[in-house]
Amino acid sequence: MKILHIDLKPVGESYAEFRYFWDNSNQYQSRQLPLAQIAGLIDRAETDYYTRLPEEYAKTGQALYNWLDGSDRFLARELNQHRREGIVLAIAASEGLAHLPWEILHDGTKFLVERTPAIVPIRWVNQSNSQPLIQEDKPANRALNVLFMATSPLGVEPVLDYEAEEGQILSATQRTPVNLQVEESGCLSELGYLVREYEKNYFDIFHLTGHATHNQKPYFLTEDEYGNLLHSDTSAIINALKSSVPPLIFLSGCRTGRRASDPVVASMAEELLLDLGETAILGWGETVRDTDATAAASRLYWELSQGGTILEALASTYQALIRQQARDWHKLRLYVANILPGALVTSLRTRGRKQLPKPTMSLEFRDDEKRLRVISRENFVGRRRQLQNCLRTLKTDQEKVGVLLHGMGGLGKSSIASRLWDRLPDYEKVLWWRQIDEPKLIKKLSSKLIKPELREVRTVLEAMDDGLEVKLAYLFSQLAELGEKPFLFIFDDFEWNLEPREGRYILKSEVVPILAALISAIRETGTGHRVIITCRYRFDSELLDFFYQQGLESLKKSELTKKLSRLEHFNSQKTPEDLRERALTLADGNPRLLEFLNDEVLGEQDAQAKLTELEQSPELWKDKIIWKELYQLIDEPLQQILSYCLIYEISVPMEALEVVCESLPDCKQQLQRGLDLGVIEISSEQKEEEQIYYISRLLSHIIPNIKRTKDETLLSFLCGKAGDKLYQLWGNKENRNGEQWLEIFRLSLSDKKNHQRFREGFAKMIKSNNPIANVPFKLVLKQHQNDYKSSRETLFCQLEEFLKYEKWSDADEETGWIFFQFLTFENYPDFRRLYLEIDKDILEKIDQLWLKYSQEKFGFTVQIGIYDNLVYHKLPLQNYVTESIEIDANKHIAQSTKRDYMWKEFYTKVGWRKKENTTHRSLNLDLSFIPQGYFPLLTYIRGDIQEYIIPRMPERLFFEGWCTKYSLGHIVEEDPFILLNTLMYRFNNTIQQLWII
Amino acid sequence: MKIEIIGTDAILATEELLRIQGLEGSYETVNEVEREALLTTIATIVGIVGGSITIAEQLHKWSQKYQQSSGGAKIEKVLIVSPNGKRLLLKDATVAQIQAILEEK
Repeated sequence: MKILHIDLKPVGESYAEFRYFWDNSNQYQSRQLPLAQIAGLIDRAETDYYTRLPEEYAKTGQALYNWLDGSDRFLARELNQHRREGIVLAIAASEGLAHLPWEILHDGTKFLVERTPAIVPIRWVNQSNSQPLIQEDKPANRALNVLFMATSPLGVEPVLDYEAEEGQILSATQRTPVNLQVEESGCLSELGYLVREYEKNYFDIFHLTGHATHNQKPYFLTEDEYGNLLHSDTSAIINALKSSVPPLIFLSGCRTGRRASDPVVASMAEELLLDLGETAILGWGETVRDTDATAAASRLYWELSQGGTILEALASTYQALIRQQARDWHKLRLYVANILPGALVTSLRTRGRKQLPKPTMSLEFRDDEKRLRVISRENFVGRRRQLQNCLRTLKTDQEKVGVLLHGMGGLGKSSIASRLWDRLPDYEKVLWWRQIDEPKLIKKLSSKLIKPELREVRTVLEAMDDGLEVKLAYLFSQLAELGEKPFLFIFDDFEWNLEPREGRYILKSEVVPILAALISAIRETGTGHRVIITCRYRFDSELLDFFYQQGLESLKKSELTKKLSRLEHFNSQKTPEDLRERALTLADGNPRLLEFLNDEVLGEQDAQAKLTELEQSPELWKDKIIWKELYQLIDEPLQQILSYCLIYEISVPMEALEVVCESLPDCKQQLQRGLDLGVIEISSEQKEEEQIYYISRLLSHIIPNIKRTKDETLLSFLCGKAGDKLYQLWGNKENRNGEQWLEIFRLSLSDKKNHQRFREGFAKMIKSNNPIANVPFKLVLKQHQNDYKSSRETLFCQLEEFLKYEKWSDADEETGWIFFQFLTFENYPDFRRLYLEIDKDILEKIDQLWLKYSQEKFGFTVQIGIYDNLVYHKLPLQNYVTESIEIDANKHIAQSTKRDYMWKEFYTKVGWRKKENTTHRSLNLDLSFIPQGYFPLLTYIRGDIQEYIIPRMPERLFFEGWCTKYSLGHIVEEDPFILLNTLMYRFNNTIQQLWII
Repeated sequence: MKIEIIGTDAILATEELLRIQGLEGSYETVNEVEREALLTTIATIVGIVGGSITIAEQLHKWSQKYQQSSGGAKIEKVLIVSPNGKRLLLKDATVAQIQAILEEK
């Protein structure tokens, strides 16, 4: 392809020289342009292109084309010269040109990238020497080696469908397979280790998928080794890759290819290039849809895997995305510096092309009946934390010889094992299904020793008359000496090697010596062989001390969403919503049941009848989940424990399970049995103290005795205890988990024997000092509306009682509670509207009570009087203006500063400015110690006053769905200043409308 | 007329915007799975009642308030697109510019 270089050199302060040349930078042509013109283009890009309300891209692209073309038609002339060869427009990513969306250049007929052969704009980081790009073409004669890492840190939403991206790459490259090496950790330091494990230049591409952002400088959101969020800048990526920089890096996160214009900050792609030099970087020039980015990757690697050049692949990707009507096709940007890499590998039939070392996992992971028993690599979703925990153990923990994956049937233990298999390409795999026996093990191992240099080892192994441990130790040490790959033993469905005893499972007697010999041989030889066991139960054996034990839970939240997106009938518009919901309830997140319902129920003509039959007759499906034998082990004491624990609807800490079961005999031991038998699900956290537990609703279907109690008194008692315990564990200022808050209030307000539960729930919400608690409490309170009895006559009784006894803080809380009831039960969208529209009688009644018992020291009208004295015309203007802000001609800036000033003056005057060691609770004091106008306070704010100087709006995204679903209106952390002004408006109608907008 | 608002406080700001007397409209939050959790709302203004100068002043004030927030960038960008396709970034716009775009048909 021919490269037309387009460069811009500043000339003086107001002009730039616009240069263009083909191969020789000395033979450039030029014209002068005013810098103001470029600034104008950038402004236009901001309004027309970098927006969700864009101008037609063709129109914007044509305007850019015309500007480049100029009146002398330079561009058209130059392009015509080499049209048949395919052209690269290397546009210098310097000065103003970097901000412009060159990818949408349009000649009036079509986008340039749509031409055949394509004209591809790329971004050229020319580091001021203006040397032309060197086209390099040194394809490796083998399959494409892609290093793929997706990041999905804990707490970062929305969770991306990175499994789909991996799956689509594999599916697109089926005919020309790529070696897709996946780093599962999402952690750059782990990536660095992986890169260093391979020879230099092993990888052709590094692909990084995840969320990226700009905050003063560009960051990619990656994970630490435990999945927590890290903001990684360019230097972290460089550190990970510096030992072997691949010729192409794809930073597939938003705005990785966009330079910030104000202040000017280079994009992540540019920064990487400046350090790494001879590579090519792909990034996105703006926010990008997850699905579009996935489509781009699969098309790009499809082309590259067949021996296409990077430019051909890029052009093909643009064209494919345009055909698919992918909104973000044009945001894909290629950055290069000195070198423009060509093809990365040769085409499939090139003579001597090295074949991929491994066939795909799905061919190998079959049981003895040759059935594929796991989900395909393309359809695998979730289980990220479990995979990370297991991989960390298998790769780095020298104390452990392997991992035990345990949990109820259908949770996907074998699929996780197969994923681990796939993630550990440097092991020789030995897959074992169900019962193990020694002769077969030796035979199986011998069958792996097929290389000629291993013939002697094989012969000795088969002839040895020693015990298994000696044989294995000999084999392992010989393999290590010969530099052979270590084995990865996978014992799938290991429960076949167990038998029940005294309510638990133990190893069968013939299995103990085999497992013991294997573990001992690995440990004695200090070799890197590893073992993965999948088993429904955790068994009693000291041998498990050498295993990391990973429990499993059903699919939840984003994992469940991803799973459902891959199940045709759960996704189909043809499946009625109620049927879908019933199927979801029945499966309770169990992947095997979800697949079964999708494949054999939802798509059928008589789906309703079939599902009803399954709901009513669990014997039709329960063997998929639980063995008959297990029923006997789930005896009455355990059934009772599980029944009590069913009051929780989400996963909870062990302490919370214990508290509801403490009245039952041997509760701790029984809970432990429940865990061992796989009937209590375990969350993915690696540390036991952080794990939370869930009782699957499937158990109630399978074993009818396991059900939530119908005894109202007992239920109420358990809910009350559970609610209190969860509040103790989770009810703090730091807890941002709305689901947990919802569970606290759901349980607390279900304690029907406690007639104070609503008021106590409100107190919990207030005392937590956490705005996240508001929406869940409001939601649960609303659900209990029919249970809550209150009347206007009794509404103020408690308030009056508190005031009479000078319990000012309690009275304040009660005032807040009165308003909160109106807000919830009478469907006000927010407090501002409530104060604006509520009967004035109520406001006046509350005010009068406060005035009466405080000797007119507290009350709304007292506060309003104080505020009225501060109204701006009584204060000199200079008081409103801080040093950093100057008054503009129209005084508009002064106006908003004035607002802040008035608010600050007010809360200082009424004593709300927090003093050290002063808590709201401590203000049940003698009247003389409290400033005039201090109460009511909760009517406006709660928590630390300093946080409310500027109104906040936390966690909004999180609650958006709830607010819509339950018609809760928009719950926002409201501006106390506006609330004060709204009340003032109600009481004396004097305040400007401006302040209550 | 449409108004695009981008930033962590986009919803709060949009709700406040729609409380401005004389501006009648609604908004929606952009709910797409993208590779950056950037909050964006699109407000659709269906009616402007009263004097455009007063509304322009309030819009200006509203915009300044969010740009001056000391706790980090709360609103990154506000773009007004008039029914006839005229566009205005609110960042450095004057009251007169805002008034002019409000009067576009």
